[in-house]
Amino acid sequence: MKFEAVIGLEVHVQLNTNTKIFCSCSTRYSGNEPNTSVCEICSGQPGVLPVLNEEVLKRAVKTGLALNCAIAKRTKFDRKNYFYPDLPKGYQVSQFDMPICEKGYIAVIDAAAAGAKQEKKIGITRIHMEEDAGKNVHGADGKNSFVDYNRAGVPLLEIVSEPDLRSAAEAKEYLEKLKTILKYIDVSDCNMEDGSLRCDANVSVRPGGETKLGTKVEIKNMNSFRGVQKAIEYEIERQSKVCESGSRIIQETRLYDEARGVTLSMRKKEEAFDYRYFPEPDLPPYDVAAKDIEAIRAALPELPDAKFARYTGEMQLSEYDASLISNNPSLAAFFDECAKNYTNYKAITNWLLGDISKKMNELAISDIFAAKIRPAHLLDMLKLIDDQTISGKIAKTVIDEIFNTGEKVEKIIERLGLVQITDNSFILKVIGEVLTENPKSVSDFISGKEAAVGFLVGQIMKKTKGKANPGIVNQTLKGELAKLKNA
Amino acid sequence: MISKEEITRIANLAMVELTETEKSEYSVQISSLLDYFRQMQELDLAGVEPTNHALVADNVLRKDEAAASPGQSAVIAGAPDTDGKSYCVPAIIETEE
Amino acid sequence: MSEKFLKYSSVKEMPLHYKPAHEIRRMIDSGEISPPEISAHIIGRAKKNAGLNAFLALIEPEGTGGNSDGGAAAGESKKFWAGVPVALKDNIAVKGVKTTAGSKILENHIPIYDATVVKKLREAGALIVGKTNMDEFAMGSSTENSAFGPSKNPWDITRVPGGSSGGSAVAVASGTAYMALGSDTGGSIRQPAALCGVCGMKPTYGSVSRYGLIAFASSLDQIGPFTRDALDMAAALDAICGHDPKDSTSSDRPAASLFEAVKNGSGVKGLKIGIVEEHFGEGVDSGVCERVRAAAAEFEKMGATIVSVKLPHAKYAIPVYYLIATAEASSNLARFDGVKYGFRAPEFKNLKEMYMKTRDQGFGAEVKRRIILGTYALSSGYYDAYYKTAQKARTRIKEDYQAAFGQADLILSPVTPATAFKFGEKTADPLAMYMSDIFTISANLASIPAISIPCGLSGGMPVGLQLSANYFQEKLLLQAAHEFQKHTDHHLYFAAVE
Repeated sequence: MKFEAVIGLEVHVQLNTNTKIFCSCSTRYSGNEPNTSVCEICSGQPGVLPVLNEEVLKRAVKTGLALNCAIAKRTKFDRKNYFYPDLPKGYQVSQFDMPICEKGYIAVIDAAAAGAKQEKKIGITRIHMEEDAGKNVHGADGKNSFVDYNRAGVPLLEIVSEPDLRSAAEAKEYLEKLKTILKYIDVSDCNMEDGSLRCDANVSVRPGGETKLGTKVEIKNMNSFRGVQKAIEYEIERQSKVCESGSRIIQETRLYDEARGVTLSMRKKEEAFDYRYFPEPDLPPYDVAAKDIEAIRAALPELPDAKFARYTGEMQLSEYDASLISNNPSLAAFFDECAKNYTNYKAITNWLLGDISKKMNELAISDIFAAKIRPAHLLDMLKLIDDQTISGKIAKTVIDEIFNTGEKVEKIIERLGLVQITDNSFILKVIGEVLTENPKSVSDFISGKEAAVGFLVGQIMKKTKGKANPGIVNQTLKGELAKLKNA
Repeated sequence: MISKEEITRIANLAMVELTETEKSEYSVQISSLLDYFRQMQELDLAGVEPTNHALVADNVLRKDEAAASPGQSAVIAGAPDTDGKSYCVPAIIETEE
Repeated sequence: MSEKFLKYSSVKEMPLHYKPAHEIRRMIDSGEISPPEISAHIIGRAKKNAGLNAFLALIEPEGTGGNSDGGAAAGESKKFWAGVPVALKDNIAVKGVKTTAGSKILENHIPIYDATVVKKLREAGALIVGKTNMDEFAMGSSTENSAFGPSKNPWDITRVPGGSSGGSAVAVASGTAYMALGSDTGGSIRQPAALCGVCGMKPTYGSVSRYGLIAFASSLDQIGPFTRDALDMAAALDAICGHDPKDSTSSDRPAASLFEAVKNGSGVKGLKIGIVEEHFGEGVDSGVCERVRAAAAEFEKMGATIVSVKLPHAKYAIPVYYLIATAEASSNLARFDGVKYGFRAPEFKNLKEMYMKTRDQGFGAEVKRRIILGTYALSSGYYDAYYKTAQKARTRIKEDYQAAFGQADLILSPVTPATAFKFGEKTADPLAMYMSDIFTISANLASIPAISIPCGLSGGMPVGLQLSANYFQEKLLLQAAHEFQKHTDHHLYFAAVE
């Protein structure tokens, strides 16, 4: 029996505001000692009250707009009540029935569609604001745990998808797209590795063709996008086997064990916990004025889907190139800046995706603006290649130097003496020397060995320290060899 | 009538340990209170908005500017058990995120 | 004891500790007395009368508790409260000073910050002399629920002073503070003020910052003053009212300058004063009825008109109040878990036991009972029937008041159904205790301001008169109260305390 997987993802992202959601403690505590970015408010002392950080509301609206959601006219907070040491007040301030955003979508490529690539919309049910909890660290002796509230009160957005995903690969793609969009609008670092993005998955299976949903299982403890994919793959397999054997799926929460590549049932059997949600009386409702929403919308940057369309459309980049560039906000910004002043877009992408990206990988830089290279550098370089001042090969050396020093391209060429040699008579003279010094290669060529040409070109380049214009070299060499052949 | 079992369930949710005597007592007292409170059901409240918030002005916001924190030692000063840096509690058994 | 009280015809006759704060201000400014002399006198009295158990902690002026310098600088003495001894209910956070909320679970808790009202009082130069006793977490009407023993009514020490702000009422009634702050969630300022023969006021919700008030019920709690008279009350509100950016429920209406407005008030001619007939029916002591009706007649003599108003949903106030207040409290008190501050049970096998035993041993019976009730009201399957229904009924109660204030400027009523009861009289039946809140809880549900002022004695014990007004009409309330006190002498009766 063929089973169809139905997957929904619940993603929590930490917002990159300066301060926590309800107090003025810094959110930049990473690497600091425990409880150093903590005040009476975020440690839940008696008598304290919350005040909402305006940037949290703005970023929530911005995220909703970027994900095609409807923004609530009126939104409020609710208390979610439960006991846990990392929850200082014994309740989490979250949003229950009036979330800030609803009914949006993210476009992914439909993995199941046969033939030409088709887009598929993965629905976003809702986005809401809430506060993060602190961290519990297990003691070495297993008898105690240690609680640090540095993270308590950091603002979170919870982004809940509709169960529209149909495969683990699609789920990973959804996450990657979500991350790209959120990085474009600069609301979060979106790193699973440092906890600024967390993901839980709801997975169920049903017989192919069935419209009713199967029993869903919640999967937690995935620590990377790859982990999410593997965990879901395993779970789909596990559930399919269970169904095939005639057993029923138990509705439960399972933890992904990365080392063993399996999901494991949590020891405790949990019924749905009674959180006793009720409206937070210490915070008023919030009205987001239409004009404020419009202002945020107007200030949104061009998002990846729009960029991709523009790159493949009017700029005629390949889908592959367009995808690579539009998925990286800083690379795209770099590209866009260059493209304002230079219309050979393919040339720009060749360099960006080729040697420049290679250099960035070497230096372990992921954001091009963290390196010394600037759009002006690439533009200068392209112009100098066009007017044959330097060759493409020389340009590679120039790029290395740019990354090292950030100097202007002209200065680098001057300093290193990299100006290309285009003087025909000079090149002719060098070719003459090389042909004289390498009689064997000449005779090899005459007797039909085309490969000898390459060797001779190499010798010419060596003599000119790589500066001879390759085009002129090839053409002139061809001509001289032809003369010799026909002599 | 709120049963002792109900009281036990609620006490677990509220994390308050009660003796059997207390459970019986509360069961009786709270039942009688709720009986009295039930008269509220005779009201026709269709379409009435609940008063979720007392007299409050909407949209109270704060600027995203960091302020100095009181410091680790001040914050954990009154805690029943610490290791000098963090609050110390009995080990948490379930694996958490 | 119940027949022994003192009566003064004028401020001049009064001993130093019973003079109103505005007289103390005059005496300090004219050099007749110095702040250190006053505070020494007051603290001496407090120690002498320790048996009343008004104070959980006394703060001696010499450097402890961060008191002001008593307004020694010349410019300071212009401020009304500079150098005047005041007391604070022990659920108001004072940095560096033990703040217990009357509970074992906070028996050694020392806040790391000041409540906003404390900051304001310090800025006003007031001398904070102590933290006062209260029912645990403000849950109660007698201080019998304090983990540190009840306070005693100075008019009759076999009787309760009322609660939950009983200690603050006793401090002002016994001349051991000129002003004391309390908190009022369902009458916890007004009821003890009535039972102890002093003035007590709950301002409009949002007028006074709740930042630093250990929360009982967030949508109902307000901090308010106890004073000798209406003029002092105006000065007290001037000192503590105002918008606070740290309290999102704090009103952004500019604080009016009440003292001058009340002092120069133009009387009550033409004022319409509403009476609810049901308030004088069965269940209310005849002595109380008589005194309150006499007060209404007094207002008529002063030129006001008494009109009849209706509050049709008043009978539902008790269930509405107790469901909402306990629900909010059950959540507000979840933070008391033995992890971050306060008491932790000495023995437990695991985390869950630590929580459960800490909260069982740290909380008293009334607090536990209300936490259970509140948790139940919010729990799955019951939320709609109890909490949500109560919130809707609350809307109706608010609407009743809006309609009533369309017909009257003020509403006049008793504060309590009877004068102070004896210790132990009401502890057996929670509902009986709750029912005595019938006149006060609606003001909290409707978020409106209300004041209790003395209106005479019945059986030798004080009776309180309640005046309530619409949102932010404190000036109207205080002007009426002040006018009443210009024409009557009930506020010049004092308990006979050594």
